[in-house]
Amino acid sequence: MRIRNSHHVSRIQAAICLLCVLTGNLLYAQQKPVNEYLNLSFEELTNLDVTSVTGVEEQWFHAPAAVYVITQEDIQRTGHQSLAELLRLVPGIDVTQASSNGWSIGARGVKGNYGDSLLMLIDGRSLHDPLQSFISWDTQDMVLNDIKNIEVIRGPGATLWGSKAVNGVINVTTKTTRDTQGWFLSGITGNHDRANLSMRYGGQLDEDTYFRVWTKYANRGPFKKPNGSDHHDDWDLHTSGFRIDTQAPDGLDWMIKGGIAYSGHMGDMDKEPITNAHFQHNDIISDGAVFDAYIQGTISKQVNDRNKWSITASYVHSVNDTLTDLHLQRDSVDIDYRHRLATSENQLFVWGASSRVSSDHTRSNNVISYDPADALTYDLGFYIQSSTNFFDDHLSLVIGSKFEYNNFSGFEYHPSIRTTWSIDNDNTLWAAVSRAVRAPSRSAVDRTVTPFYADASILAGGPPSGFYIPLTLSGNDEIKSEKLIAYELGYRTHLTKALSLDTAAFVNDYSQLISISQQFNLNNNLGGEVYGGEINAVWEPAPTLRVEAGYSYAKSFLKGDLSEDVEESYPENHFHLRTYLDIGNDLECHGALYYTGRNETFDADPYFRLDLGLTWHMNEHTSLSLWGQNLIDGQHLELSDPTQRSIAAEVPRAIYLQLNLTY
Amino acid sequence: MACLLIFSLPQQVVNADSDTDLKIKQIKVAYLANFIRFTTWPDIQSEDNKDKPLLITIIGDDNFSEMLQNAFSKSSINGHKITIQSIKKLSIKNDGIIDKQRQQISNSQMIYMRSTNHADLQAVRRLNTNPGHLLLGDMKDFAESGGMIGFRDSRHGVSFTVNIAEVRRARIQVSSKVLRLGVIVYQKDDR
Repeated sequence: MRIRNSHHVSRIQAAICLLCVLTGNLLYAQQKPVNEYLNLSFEELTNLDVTSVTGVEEQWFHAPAAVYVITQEDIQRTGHQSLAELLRLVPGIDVTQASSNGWSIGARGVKGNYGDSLLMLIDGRSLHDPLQSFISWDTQDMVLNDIKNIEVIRGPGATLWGSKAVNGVINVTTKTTRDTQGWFLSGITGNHDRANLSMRYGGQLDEDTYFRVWTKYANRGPFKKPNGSDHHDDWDLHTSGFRIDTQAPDGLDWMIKGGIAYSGHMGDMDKEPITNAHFQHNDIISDGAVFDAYIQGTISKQVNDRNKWSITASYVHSVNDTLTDLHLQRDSVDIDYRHRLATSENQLFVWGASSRVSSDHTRSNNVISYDPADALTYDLGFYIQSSTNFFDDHLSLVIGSKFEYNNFSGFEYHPSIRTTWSIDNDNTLWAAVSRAVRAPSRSAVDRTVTPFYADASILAGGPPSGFYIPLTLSGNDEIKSEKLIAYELGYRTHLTKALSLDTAAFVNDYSQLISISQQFNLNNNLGGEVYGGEINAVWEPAPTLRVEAGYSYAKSFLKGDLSEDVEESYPENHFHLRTYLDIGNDLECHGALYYTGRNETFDADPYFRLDLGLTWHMNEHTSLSLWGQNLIDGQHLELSDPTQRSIAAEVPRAIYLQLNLTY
Repeated sequence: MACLLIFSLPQQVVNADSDTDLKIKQIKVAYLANFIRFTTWPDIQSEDNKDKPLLITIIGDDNFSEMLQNAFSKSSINGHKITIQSIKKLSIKNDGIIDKQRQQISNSQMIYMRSTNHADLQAVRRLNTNPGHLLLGDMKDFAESGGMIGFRDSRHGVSFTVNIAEVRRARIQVSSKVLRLGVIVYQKDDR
């Protein structure tokens, strides 16, 4: 028996050995064509590399993560006029517009409770607000024509980007100033986008130094209540900025950019509790005023093809006031160092360190308060990642982790292992297992919200007493970090020269998610699995026609004290179909159909959204576009508080005209 | 044992410059294939000339034409075989290109100037014998100096600039997709 076993083992060893040799030989024998780029489309060539997944430039097609790239062509041909709305293009991302200036955005079945679980960066600067733990989608505006592309990762990106990137990373890269020389003027007017004016000028300071300055004003109308009346959420926003780039011959590049965003009228309706009534509130106008300013500098050095480092430092000042007297102010400093070093043709290391220090000052109103009112928060991080290629680059293995220390939960770590099997230039299989952690923020630890007052006696089951106590949802300094273990598998293929397919499946195992108990306390009792997948197809049968279709599914099995609400707070099904059609050289037709499934918790029925556009390039300097958005319904609901359905904000049908001039 | 086999694979030292140069050249070959796909040349795409090959002339050629030949030798684009001819160095006498080279250039549908000499570009532009060609180049500010499409090499890859006025002046049709994906520039005198 022993002999037989031994014999059996040696046979297995021999088989493994033979398989390895054969596989190795087969893969070596399967030499890459002379030119691996030859079959790439224009879009793939102009957006050849993505950097958000592994921290180094790599071809999108071979990236070991579910990554989608929104190109400048997509921006021009979908008619969306904000970064938040552009994310509708990405399969696996749910974009819900709650009001004219409010968005709720999540990925793969989860929208963060008590904060966004997505991280957004513009040119490497994090937009995460450490005080409220979210992204202010409304104030992130810019001249959209100046965006190079937007890389969106669904799934954890915490190994490189830290504890804010639990469910995804949105990485906006703007064009270098050399690519935005001359004048660009854009004017939009319509029934919802009442006025949207952009002006940019780019020039040259010396042989290697270019700059641009820009300013933009947007004035958008209100959404509609179900009865058709205005929701009082109209708003305006002024943004201005500059950027200077220098590319020095010795490989040392630097970039400085800065900007401001200001709104004196950010329309909003809010609920103010009535202090002498049982579970009653008044709807009040709580218009806000916001002011954001930032300055950012990046120095990068390309020592040689193998060795590159960069340092990015930024300072952000942000002030948020409402008519109801809430005042939130913060000052944040971020420093981020990244280094990559290839020690051989097949081995690459990426490492870096980051720090964020944020000081905030708050003034409470009768609904929201922070205790303490002022605070200093920080997080420090270090990451290292190894990428190894095998079998003539057909197989790659990426292993790494970020290690962080923050003042709320202390030490955290975010390891991941990713692998890509590039079967050939037309087929890529990838898989990943990663752990990501979202550390608590000030909003979960120090914030108290008082939505109602209640009769103490009624609460105790007795008759009304006339003695009212505040019902508060208080932060919890015992709150722990949210945890995720994610398992992902993906496959990309060029089925024909004209048809490509990108698919991904995932199982996300969450634990210790922050949730609200039935006793109205914050705890970490929520956890469970979310599984699903995305499929996206691009068909380009002719140079003049591009069709893209995507479907995503996410099913949540999260269990907590109020589990049903959580499970049903994210639509299970999303679908989109987009076409870009050129008629002759001067006329472009654009169409997009989006479907979003029912959101049970927020009482939103499934809806279709149809956008149609026509662009006429009048000459080399001028183009004119006509857009219709949300054409199917006069207005539709995407999110509402079920107890306040009658005053919910519904997205109206919108028509606008856009004139672009370049000189 | 499997691990041993995997980790015993030979590891080569990176030859940084040649890798980058090779990558950039390969990307440019792929760009040229796409430019051909998205351009219509009425003189060779009429019913009478549908079997006529598409002629690309490389001016200031290193080994690029060889690379192009390898990529296109067994395939056709938009139904046309691709023929490549090479001019190592432009010969200019008395302010004009010598007759032989002039003839070569005039017969081309696509002219790609690897040469970074500004005088070469102006000499080719002065020819103006065949407005039905697409003129591309590597020279800095190529499109701003009167070329149609200029490549820009950077540490992040290759992008291209388009001088729409020059493209529209030519007797060819370039898809608006090219104009959208490129960086639009204007001739310096025109701005």
